[in-house]
Amino acid sequence: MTSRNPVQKFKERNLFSRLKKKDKDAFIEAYDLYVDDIHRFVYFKIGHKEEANDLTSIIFLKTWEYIKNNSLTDSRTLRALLYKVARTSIIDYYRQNQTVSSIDDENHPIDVIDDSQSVIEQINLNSDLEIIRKKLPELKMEYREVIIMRFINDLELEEIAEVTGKSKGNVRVLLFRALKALRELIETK
Amino acid sequence: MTERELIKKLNNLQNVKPDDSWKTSHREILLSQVQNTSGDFHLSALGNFWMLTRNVFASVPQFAWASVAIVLFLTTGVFFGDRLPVGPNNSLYIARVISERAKLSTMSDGEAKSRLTVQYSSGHARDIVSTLSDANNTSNQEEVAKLNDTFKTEIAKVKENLPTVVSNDDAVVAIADSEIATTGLSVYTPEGDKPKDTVVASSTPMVEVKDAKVILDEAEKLFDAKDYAGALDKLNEADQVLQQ
Repeated sequence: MTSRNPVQKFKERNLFSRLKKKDKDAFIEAYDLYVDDIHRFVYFKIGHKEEANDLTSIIFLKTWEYIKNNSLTDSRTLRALLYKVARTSIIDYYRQNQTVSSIDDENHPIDVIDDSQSVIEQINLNSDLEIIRKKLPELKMEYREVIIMRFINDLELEEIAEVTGKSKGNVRVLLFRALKALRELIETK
Repeated sequence: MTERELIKKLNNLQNVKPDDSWKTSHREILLSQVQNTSGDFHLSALGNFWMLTRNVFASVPQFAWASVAIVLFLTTGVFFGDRLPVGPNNSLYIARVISERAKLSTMSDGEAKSRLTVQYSSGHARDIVSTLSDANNTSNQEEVAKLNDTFKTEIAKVKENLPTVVSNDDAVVAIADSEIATTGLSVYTPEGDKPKDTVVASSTPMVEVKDAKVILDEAEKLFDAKDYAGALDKLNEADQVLQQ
């Protein structure tokens, strides 16, 4: 797993500081920086590409509304704030759509956008994706969420703790259990 | 599948991204919606500078800053310690002392170590005397008492290391015993553990040890009597004897 270097952290902090001053340009920069991560988080949580697109749009708009109307003193990082908004938006989505979905169906394959990948890498990725596509939705929502945040979207433990409202220790335990559960699911295929 | 393999597969999913066309079109929509909201952002040059500085400090781990501070502190002591006009009650002087101790702790050659200890300690003693001879520095009695103690310690260190330092060039280690010094000298060669025959101490080194010790004793007495100028003269004299 790659952790963010000090330059990236500086960039993010700077962006967050500007957003605290309601800088509109900073918000667009934040969109460019985080749209992939937020879309991926939503996509792996709800399982539909089109709905993930719509929800991601809503999340960014809601975040801007929140930034405009609040002082942002209760969030430590911009990423954590975006994930918090994403989380509540997904909860709202589930309230409106009671059925729990699986990750895209066979007729609508997932687009993997990365031109730099070789054919072998693409095949491997697709096979990994296939496993996740089938098994991730079978996990408890709580497990699924921490796995996406930590191992797919590379959030730090402190950030996951802030987003979920749990302690770092609890997040660590949750991650351990989630990985174990996913492994067991994959091995019983 | 091991846990590591599973995590690797999950990491690979970072390549899952939304369509570029959707991202671009949504960006335009978002931009227009955000631009239409009220309020505008203005930050002064000073405010901008302050924000950048604060973020730089916050982005780099604290231990990295602490390491940089320690390295700077020690480097200043090593490179500028001798040149800066600092006294024993100054933080830069403390940096110099720390760097000297660090240097001593890395030395394995006993004689060279003793030589350097004598050099540093006599230097410290001289600095203390110079500091105390300045009337401005004697107002703080607590500080004066501390410097007095340090002076005694430094002089004791010099005396302790004198015999090794003044040993002759044939790699003979002299034993610092004034009684032996007046009658004879037991010598040890580096090749063997057994002592050779006692030889008559007509050699110059022990005379120097004795001379230097006497001079240091006199310096101590003058220091106790608060005759700092006299003590400084004696310390310089002891230095000259040792350098001969």
